[in-house]
Amino acid sequence: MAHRDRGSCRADLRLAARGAGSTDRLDPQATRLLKASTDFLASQKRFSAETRNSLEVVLTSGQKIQFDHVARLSVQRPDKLRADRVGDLVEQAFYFDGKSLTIFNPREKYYATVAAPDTLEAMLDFARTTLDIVAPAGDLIYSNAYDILMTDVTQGFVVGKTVVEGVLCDHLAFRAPHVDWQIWLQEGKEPLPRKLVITTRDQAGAPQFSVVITKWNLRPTFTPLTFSFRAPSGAKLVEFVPLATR
Amino acid sequence: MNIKTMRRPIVLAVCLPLLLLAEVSPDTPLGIALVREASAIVGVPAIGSVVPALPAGCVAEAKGGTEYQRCGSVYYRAAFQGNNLVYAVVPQP
Repeated sequence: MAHRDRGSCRADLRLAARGAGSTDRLDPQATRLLKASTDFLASQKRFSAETRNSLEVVLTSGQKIQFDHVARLSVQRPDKLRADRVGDLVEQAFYFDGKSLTIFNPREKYYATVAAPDTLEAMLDFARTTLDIVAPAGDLIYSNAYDILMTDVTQGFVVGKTVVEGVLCDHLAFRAPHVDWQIWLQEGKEPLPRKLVITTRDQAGAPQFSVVITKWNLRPTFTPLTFSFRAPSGAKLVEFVPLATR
Repeated sequence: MNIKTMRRPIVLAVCLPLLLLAEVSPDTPLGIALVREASAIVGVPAIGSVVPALPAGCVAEAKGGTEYQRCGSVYYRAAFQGNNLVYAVVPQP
């Protein structure tokens, strides 16, 4: 334990040497950079992105297992979204065309469709509250993404400059009651998020979720089929069932 | 999971379904225990109960344009529960 404390202390000193501000309060420089990023993204009418995600699951033994996924997202404000995720645990496509949302599991060839509110934000709220469906990257889309991110955050500071996927970024670290999170924002006029790490502190083993946004495209080309689901042959329509009480 | 109720950060949504999946059976990452449990049940599982995967030896049967999975004397229909694909026990069609 003493050894670990010395290590933590050294890390603190290294941060200080790199010019990081105080780590125990909310540094306005950190919030300013974050706000610039979320505002920039909110101002983008259309974009696509590719991500690489890593999810840790803690077994009862305490052993951590990591699962990886890649995702591709297409967004056109105010009313279109498409997301495809492929990986260890799931293969799923999500479509919202302004009228209905569809989720489709290509591996099993099952899909379900439901009428949805006609804007992205209203659709995301509906999906979350009524169906317990979480649309990939949903939180990127909310125009108040900053407020969502900063809910209950008590501390935050600028860690320093880092390179993510070859792109120079500002590395920020925030703290909320149950969760620590870090975000890497591209430096310059297009302050896009490039990486995010979430540490669930109050869960045994403090599992982490991390996502690296490997590609951003702010001038994507979309077709009607990007957002409208057409069932491939052999795909079977199924229903949504209510969630079991937890 | 707190993360979810707190509507945690960005792109978090990308993983949330997975977190939820993990939450279904925290003891095993893939709900394997639940599946074993389901297939080990002696007797008939209750109509409306839901499993994350089918027991072994099921046969697909289509009736009235709907696909069912017959597993012994029990019929299942695929469905989505949140983002997760599940199988719900239904009355014999």
